[in-house]
Amino acid sequence: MNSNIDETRRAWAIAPGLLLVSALFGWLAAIKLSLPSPWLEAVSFSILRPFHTFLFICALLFVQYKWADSLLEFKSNSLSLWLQRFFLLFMASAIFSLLTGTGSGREYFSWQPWSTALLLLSQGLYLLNLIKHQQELQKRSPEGFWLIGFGGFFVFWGLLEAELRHLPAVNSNFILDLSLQWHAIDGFWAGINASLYGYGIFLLNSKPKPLRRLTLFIIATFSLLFTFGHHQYASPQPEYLKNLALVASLLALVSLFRHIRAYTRKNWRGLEQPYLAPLLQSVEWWTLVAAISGILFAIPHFNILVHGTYFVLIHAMGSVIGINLMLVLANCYSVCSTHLNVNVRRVRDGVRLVNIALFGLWFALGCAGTIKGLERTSDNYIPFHEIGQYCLIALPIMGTVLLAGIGLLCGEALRLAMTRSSAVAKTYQRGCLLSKDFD
Amino acid sequence: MVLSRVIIVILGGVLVTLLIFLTTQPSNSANNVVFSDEALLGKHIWLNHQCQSCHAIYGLGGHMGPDLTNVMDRRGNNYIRWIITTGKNKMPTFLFNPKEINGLLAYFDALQRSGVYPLPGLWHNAYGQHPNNKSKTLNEQ
Repeated sequence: MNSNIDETRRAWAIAPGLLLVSALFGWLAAIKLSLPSPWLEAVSFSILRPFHTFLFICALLFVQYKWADSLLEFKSNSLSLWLQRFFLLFMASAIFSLLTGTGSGREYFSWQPWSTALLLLSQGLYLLNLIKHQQELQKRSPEGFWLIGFGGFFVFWGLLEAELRHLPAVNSNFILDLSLQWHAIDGFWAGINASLYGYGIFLLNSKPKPLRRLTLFIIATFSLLFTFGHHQYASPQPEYLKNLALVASLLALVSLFRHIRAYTRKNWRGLEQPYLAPLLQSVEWWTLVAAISGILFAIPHFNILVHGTYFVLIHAMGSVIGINLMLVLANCYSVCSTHLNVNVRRVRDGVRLVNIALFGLWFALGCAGTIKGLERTSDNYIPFHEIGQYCLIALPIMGTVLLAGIGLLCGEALRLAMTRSSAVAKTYQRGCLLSKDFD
Repeated sequence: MVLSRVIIVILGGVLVTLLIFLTTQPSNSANNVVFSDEALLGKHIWLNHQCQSCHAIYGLGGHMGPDLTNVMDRRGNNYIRWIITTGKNKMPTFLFNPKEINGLLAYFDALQRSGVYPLPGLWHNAYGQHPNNKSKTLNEQ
């Protein structure tokens, strides 16, 4: 029994480990981007940046699979074993291509197509597993099941869509290729977010959430499928796609109002597991920030100012760190804390540091983004503006604070994951003996 | 029952969107570029050398270097040729042969013809600007 718990815990150590290494790569990339760094001369930015995002994506996908394994009892399932094998093969092949500089050269999907094929296999098996267990999962939380199913499907679809670039008709048509790239990226990340929110619902162990109305699904699907167009208003994609993108993006106002109402009514102190409070509070806050900034960025004239600037970078960073990273760690603590106590203080300090860093980065990158956005609309635009570059000094400073915060949070997750049950039992027995002596 | 409708909405939506994409993108017009073989070679080099890590096209890509959508108009052939072969600041030197450099130049030239990015002004043509006629939007021919 104890060895089973130990095994489960140890397997979970991979997620915080990947997040930590990803954060380290991100920190190095921030230094290389903003400071003269001769000591980093040997490490090419074209390896650092894709590797940083690749590791983060791996951690998010891994949690999806492990969470399904650990809590939804897929563990002994042969589908689950095969999906893990395919996932490990994907990681190995992608690491090889990224380190040897033979990646795909694309945003986010920076590995080669054969690696995508392996990832598609593991994601496909994961979806099959979900379908196999749908009744059990729906009984526990219809809303949670819908979110993880929806998310899993869009991750699969996003990966598939990204590889359509190999079709000759897409490869030679620049605008179709650009549109599909954005659509694949949007779908993939929306899928990951939906999955993590779904697992968050299972995590809270609250009353099963019923399925929402069909109208909301239609709005969500429409928004998810068409918002991508606002990323390239300036490109020659068909105008109706730009109009649809604007409508779809502004529909996010519906969920924003619902979210604000829910946020103000939440009772954080009433949670069963106190370590979840700072993490989930941060998730809710950064979701609000991401939704508000996302809606603003979709307004065409504001989009001219911010698109392709550091504004968008911090919008993405705030979302993946403030939301996804926190949800991954919340899942990790929840599974690994069987028979163990989570150090709530350390978690609170870690979240505080991460939030401080994200606020600092929002400010600095927001300034750099505004300067660049305004500068480039003038006739004598120079791609590198000095004042904008000065703002970037905040990147390594705040990056260090961020790294410290992520280090604390991942360190705690790793401690929990690597603690053996026998050691806990010994400590417990010693504690009992000591208390007897004391009596 | 509701779940099956949800699945129909999602799957149907995805398939319809894909069909829309594949059938409505103009394949050859003044501002939608179909790459020549030379430009395709350039695109291949762009991808193989992970240029997108540092540079962006229409805002998609890295922030280390400038966006290269209109680099042809901004800098011209000779400057691009020079910076690729000698490097500058954080831009490394690339040892490309003349055919590869010409491919990259053809690629940038094709991007140049597709539109204007970044847009020169906050209040006009938020949906893009025609590269050869500033009074026209991208979708006007």
